[in-house]
Amino acid sequence: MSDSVKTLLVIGSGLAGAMTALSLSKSLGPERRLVYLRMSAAPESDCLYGSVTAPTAYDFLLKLGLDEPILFTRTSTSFSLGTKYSNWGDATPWVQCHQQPLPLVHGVPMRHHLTRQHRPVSSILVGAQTAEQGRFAHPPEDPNVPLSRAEYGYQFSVAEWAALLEQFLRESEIEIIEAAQCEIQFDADAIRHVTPDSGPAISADLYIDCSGIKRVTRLATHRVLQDEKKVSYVSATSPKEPLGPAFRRVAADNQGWTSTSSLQGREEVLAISKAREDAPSSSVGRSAEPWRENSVSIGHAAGLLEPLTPAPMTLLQRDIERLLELIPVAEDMTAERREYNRRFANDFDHAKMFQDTLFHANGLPASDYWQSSTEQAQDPRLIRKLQQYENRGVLVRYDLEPFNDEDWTILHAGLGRTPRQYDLQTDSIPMSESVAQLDALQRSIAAMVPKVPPHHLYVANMKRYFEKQNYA
Amino acid sequence: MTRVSRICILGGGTAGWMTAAALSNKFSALGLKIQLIESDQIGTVGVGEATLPHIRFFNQTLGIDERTFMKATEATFKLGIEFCDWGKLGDHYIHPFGDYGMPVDKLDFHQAWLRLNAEGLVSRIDDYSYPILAAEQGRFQMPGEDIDQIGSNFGYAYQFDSSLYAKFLRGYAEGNGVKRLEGKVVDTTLNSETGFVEHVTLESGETVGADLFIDCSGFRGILIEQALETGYDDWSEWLPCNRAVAVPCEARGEMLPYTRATARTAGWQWRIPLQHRTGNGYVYWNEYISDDEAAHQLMSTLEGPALADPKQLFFKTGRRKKFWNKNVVSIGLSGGFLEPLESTSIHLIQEGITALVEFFPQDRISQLDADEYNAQMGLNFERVRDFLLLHYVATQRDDSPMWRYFRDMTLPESLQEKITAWMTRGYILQYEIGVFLPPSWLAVMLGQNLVPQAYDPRLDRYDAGDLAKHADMIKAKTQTAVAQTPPQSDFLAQYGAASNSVPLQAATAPA
Repeated sequence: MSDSVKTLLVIGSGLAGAMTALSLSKSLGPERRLVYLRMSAAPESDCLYGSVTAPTAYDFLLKLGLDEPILFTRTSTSFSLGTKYSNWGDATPWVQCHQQPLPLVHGVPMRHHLTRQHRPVSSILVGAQTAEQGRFAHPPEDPNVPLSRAEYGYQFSVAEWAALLEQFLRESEIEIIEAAQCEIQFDADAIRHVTPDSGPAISADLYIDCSGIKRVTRLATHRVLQDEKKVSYVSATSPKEPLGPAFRRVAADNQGWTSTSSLQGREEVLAISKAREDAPSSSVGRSAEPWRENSVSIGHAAGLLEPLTPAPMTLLQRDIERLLELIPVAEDMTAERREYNRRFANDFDHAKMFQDTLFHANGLPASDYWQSSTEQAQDPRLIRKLQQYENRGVLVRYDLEPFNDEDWTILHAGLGRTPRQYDLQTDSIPMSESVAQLDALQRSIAAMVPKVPPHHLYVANMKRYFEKQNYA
Repeated sequence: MTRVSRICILGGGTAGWMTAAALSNKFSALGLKIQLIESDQIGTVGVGEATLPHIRFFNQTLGIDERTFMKATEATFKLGIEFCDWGKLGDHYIHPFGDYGMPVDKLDFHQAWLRLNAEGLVSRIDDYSYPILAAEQGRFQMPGEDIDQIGSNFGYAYQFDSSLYAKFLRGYAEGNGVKRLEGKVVDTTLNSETGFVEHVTLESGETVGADLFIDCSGFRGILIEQALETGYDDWSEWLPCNRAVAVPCEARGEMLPYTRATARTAGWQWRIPLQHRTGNGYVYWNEYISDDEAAHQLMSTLEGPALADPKQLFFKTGRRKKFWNKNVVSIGLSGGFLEPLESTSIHLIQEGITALVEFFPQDRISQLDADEYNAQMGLNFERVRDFLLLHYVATQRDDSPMWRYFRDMTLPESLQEKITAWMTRGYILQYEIGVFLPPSWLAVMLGQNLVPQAYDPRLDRYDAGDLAKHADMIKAKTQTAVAQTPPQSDFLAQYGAASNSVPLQAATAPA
């Protein structure tokens, strides 16, 4: 093995720093040295990772040692079947739930049958209905049980997860250097070394910037983001018993929007508005080149999306996974850098398209925040998606998008977007047959949902079970 | 609202009848009037006799019985393609339909293989692929249910006589009400306002009008080009082979479940074994070899007596600027041509049909439908092009002007990035849309001696001995599974797919 990339230095703090350092430590072989230069204060902007994950978080967290017994007994994490959007322009409130692939009916995608029958998508979404009724249970394996079609992520507190991961880090063998600040020495665009205020300079073969919106490894001229817009954010937490529903609530208002997550024992609230004087603010957008020379930026250091969807957490996860796949093998990192940047741009833009679709709703307020958001939601790739869906329910796809066909179908339907036509193949199936099939599906879901326990009882029972089994 | 209800398919080769079969099946409830014009006097190209696994899905959705279809088309099973003399003279490898080995904690097997290979702890990567070993030994069986099991984790396709396939589908389509019109198109009439094709006129004087025309007229592109002047993106700069000569011959030896593509000094030669005969052809660049010489090389390397005179084909690699233009959709060679090195000709027809079914116009021809159809098909063609070009440039050959041409070529950026990432660390650039998945890229790059300088460093966490044990286990299981697989000819008979036709013999076969 090439021995020219020996030392990797992670600089930062908070969720991105801890997650990145821990992920690297679990992936690297013994010949590599990993140092975590921990900047003592977590970035205030960490709350912009949002308080909700997509279902893909499960496997990712498990690899880091964060299983459900630990998450639920040591933090106030709860389940998330999705996000409910309210007051969203003219749209009727809907739960943007996570859903396994919708079945084909006689070889034709479900959405075309729904369009043909003028039947709302929500009628066949077991996750959305379970969530609305404040219920939750783990989706079973048995495909005959309707709940098996639901998927879930988590509602969580960024600070708690970061603290837990940092504890894991301290228990590991990773070299941690604490510092309040650090100074970066550049050699043209490459980093020569990093000097923490607490000790001598450290030089590494690869510098990994997890410093959030400070972007410490970037010269001022490189901190500019593409598609920049500025937003302010205010986060607050308040005690709440019992545990609320297994979905996050997002409501639009004239100034912007507010998200409320139900965690164990409390609610976390985040309000986003246009940038203003009396609240912290941040630019929203992405870097053109998160990997430059010998440094790569992860999470908010690379780009930031408002947490209107679970995208910020998905993007952080993808940044880390992409880095793990591309840990350089030689001093010349050109191939890794190009591929990392290519994939980053795609992932970020694809996630942004999903979020931007929300800014294409009808009847949104006319205030600055909404206007600038809509103006920045005009990616031609998104316009192609919207036009094709409206035309005949076609879901245009790009490579390896973070949101799948079901996410898009539910989003379009939630926003009240109905295709002008459905797939013509649908007509070769007798109407009565396709109605009967969807009726049966709808009935089985309606019969099942009331039997699912309330979210708070389910979590309480699960924790008792964990304790009895001595997990966690 | 008047529906798009009158459909005219121009041309009755593989593309024409596949389209007719699919449309008549998918839209049986719409009461479409589908007519297909073909002339017995115009030969079909018979674009490819080897297919990709996706064809099974095409047949299945049409409700075609596999055994009946195989008998009718003299089909054999296909587990992959053998490439001879591509990396350098004397080399050979099989590009299989299936992945290699099994992952190590979700890390790709080939990365573990690369590490072990550097330490001399593994044999050739082919030994970890069931379809390769089965193909090499002429064996075949159906993949099992559990697709993660060795011996089940592969796909298969067919090698068949495409003119028999067209005939088979003709019966199917006519059974669904498709009307076949015999005759040659001598004139096309466009609407003076819209420029849409209104009707075509046959030699007999009969006119055939339609709301939507599907141009399956082959290279000529009678509607898409001759009538609509759509234009063509010429890709000869990258894939310069522009002619082929094809000839069937008597089958010799065991019936092999794979196609062979042998690199030559000015092109490459195919060999496709069917139940009753073997198909052969030589694709070449006329700049570096004369037609006579190409025909001579082909005829002198046949395994048995020729069954016909060699047939000459002319083409230009590339794609129509718009596959769908106004009310004409071009499917097959009229839409574009890529040499059949990876059996993509029929596959691209299938992609064209699948997209047409999805975007089939309802009340009127919509520009939105055409735009999306064109975008999707364009990406398909482009990604196949890059994969084909890979074969020519991932090589150490420089023994002829053609190979030196490729050596000096500036590659499309999309391909260059792929090769660089592979060479740096065995990393395969992934995409979701497109026919060739990472194992295909891996097969060709490793098969043509592109050995990466490094492997995924995440493999360093493992003990080399443990990785070697994992690899040995896979190899042993693969060998066992192959040993339990019957020879293809036995399987065909037992499965009920043997045509039982008498193998074709040349009329004047030498004694």
